[in-house]
Amino acid sequence: MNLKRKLLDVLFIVVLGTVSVALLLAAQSYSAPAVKRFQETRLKTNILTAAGIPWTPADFRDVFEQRVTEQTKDGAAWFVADSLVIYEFKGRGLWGMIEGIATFDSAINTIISVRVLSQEETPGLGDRIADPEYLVTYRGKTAAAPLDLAMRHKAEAENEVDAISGATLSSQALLKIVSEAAARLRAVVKGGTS
Amino acid sequence: MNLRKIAYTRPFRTFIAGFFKENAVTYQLLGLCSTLAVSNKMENAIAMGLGVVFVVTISSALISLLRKWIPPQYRMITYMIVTSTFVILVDQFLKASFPLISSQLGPYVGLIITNCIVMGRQEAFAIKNGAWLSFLDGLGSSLSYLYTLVILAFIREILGFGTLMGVRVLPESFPPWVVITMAQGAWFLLAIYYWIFRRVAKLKPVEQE
Repeated sequence: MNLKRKLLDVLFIVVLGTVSVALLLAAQSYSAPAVKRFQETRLKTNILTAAGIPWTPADFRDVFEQRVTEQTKDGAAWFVADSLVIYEFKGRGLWGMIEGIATFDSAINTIISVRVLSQEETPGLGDRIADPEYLVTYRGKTAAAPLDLAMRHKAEAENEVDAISGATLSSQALLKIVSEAAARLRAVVKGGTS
Repeated sequence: MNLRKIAYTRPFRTFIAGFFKENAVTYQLLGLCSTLAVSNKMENAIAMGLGVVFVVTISSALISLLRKWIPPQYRMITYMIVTSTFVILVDQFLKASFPLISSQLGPYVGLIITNCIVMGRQEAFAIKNGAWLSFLDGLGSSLSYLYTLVILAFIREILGFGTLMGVRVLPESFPPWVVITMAQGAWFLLAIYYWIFRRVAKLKPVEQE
C-alpha cells in the first residue's frame, strides 16, 4: 500500500517533468531560428554603428557585405571596416556571460569603443556595464597594456577605466574580458607575420 | 447586474483582497528583492510586472487544477517545475518575438522564478481552492505587484534619471539623485510608500504576542 503510494508519487513527478521538458523543447525549437537571426542582426548593426557607417534596417546586410570584411588567422576572426579593427569578445561576468564588440584603431594600439551586446549581471546594479554612458570610459584607452580599474578616483591614465559604485565585480569582469580580448587580438594580428 | 451585488461575491472579494488590502508587496511583503531592483525605470517595471502577472495567474490556475493529484510531500517540487516551465516559456517567447525588449530586460524575466509571490499564492491559495478563484487570486496579487512597481518606478525614474519611459521630463540642470536609482535608495522610498499605503488601506497594526 505504502509502496504503491510512493510509486504513484514518483510517477506524478516524472510525468510532470516529462511534460515540462517537452514543452520547453518545443518552445526552444520554435524560438531558435528567430533568436539566431536576431543575434546576427545585432552583431552586424552594432559593427556598422561602431565603425560609424550609416545603415537602415532594410539595407544593413548589403552595407555590411560592401564595407566590412572578416579576416581570420590562427582560428581567430575579426572584422575590418574603414581601417578600424572590430573584435567580438565573450567572457564570464559575475553571473553569466558578457558578450560584446570592441573597436580598435588599425594598429590595435587604442580602444575606440566598447559595446556590450548581452549580459546577465545584477538587474539595476551590474547591468549598468552595458550602458553606453558608462562604456564611454573605455574610449581612447590603451590596447597595448593591461587595463586597470580606477577605484577611488576618476580614471585619468590611459590604462585606467572607471568602476561603477555598487557593481565593482561586474566592472572588473568586463574590464578583464576587454583587456584579454585586446591582448589576444594583438598577439594574433601582430605576432608571427610569417 | 447590480454592481453592489458583484462587490460581495466570492470571486470579486478574492480578487480585490489581493489587489488592494493584501497587496503582495506592502502587506504580504513578498517579491521585495525584485521590487527594489527592477523599479528603477518604468519600462523595466512594466515588463517585469506583466511577466509576473502571466506566470502567477497561469501557474496558480494550473496548480489548482492539479491539486487533487499533487502528492502532498512533493508540493514544492511541483510548484517549482510548473513555475520554471512558464517562466522559461515567457523568456523564449520574448526572445523570439520581442528581441529588443528581451535584451533590455536581460535576466529580469528569469528572476520571476525566484519571486515569492508565485509560490506564495500557490501554497496559500491555489492548492486549496478551485481554478477560477485561484486565477482571480493570482491576478489580484500580481496586479498589485505590477502597480506598486509602476508607482515606485515613476518616482525613481524621474528623480534618478530625470526621464519618464526614456523621455526626458526634467531639465538637464536637475542633478540626478543617484542614490534613488540604487536598491538602497529604493528602501527609503518603499518605506514611505508602506506608510502611506497602510494608512490608506487602514491596516491595523499586527498584534504582538
